[in-house]
Amino acid sequence: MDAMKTKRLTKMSLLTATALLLGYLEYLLPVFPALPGVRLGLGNIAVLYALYAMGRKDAFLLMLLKVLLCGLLFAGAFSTLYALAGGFCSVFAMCAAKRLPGVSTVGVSVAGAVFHNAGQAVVACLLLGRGAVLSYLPALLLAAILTGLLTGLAAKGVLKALGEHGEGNGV
Amino acid sequence: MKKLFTQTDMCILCGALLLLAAALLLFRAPAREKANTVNIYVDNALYASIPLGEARTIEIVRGDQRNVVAADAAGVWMAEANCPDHTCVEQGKITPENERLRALGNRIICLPNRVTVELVWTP
Repeated sequence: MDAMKTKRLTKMSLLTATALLLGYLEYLLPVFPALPGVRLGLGNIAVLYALYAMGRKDAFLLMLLKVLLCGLLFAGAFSTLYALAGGFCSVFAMCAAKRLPGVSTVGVSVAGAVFHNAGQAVVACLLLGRGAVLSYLPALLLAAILTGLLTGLAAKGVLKALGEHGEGNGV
Repeated sequence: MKKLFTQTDMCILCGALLLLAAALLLFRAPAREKANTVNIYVDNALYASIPLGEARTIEIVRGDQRNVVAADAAGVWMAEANCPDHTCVEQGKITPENERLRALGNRIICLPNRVTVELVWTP
């Protein structure tokens, strides 16, 4: 096995462990009890880091691992369904946002969070009915903006501290 | 790291705020008369509809999923739930007085068990 492969494997393992730990932490601390399904998105710091330092493919893989393992360990089947929909939308939105000129982790993170919550709302629409969810959308979007800013700033700090600029753009 | 926010970040943020404003304008619950009925939906189908004002509890059990909805003269709340997060219980009581002030408006939503409690007006 060549060095690059080992390095990638090690990094992915560490990031998966970090994402799981952050996911567990926020599972213990639901910040907005009035808003079901809304969480800080701390695990997204790890996904953002992967997106910048390792690329799109690994960011996507990390999101998938995080959602499935979190689901198996503590979230439950239906929460996993919501998380999966949110995760897919979030990673696609972050990849798209990262292509914008002059964007930093904050903008990428906000775009990811908004699409994450929108994706969850779509799944909730299918499971609970349209009316129940659409009136909840403003609160979901506001939460996404706030948590997106927070995780974006945190990811910026992490990328700076670890000195890993990946493709050399954005930070 | 030059600065915390770049110009593009601000544009994305403004876009998100515009979406938020649009959602607020489009999807805010319309004003109506004072709520007088509690509707309980399970799996997106009406499960029970009771007039608001009488004290009672309704137990909803499907397989290993259990929710208990309680009502009194003032309003309705989720008294018990065996879902993993219990946010539905923490969402508190909906009354005709507070239904427009809550983040979830006139609803209590249990996402994992797919139970929705809704305060409505029926003529």
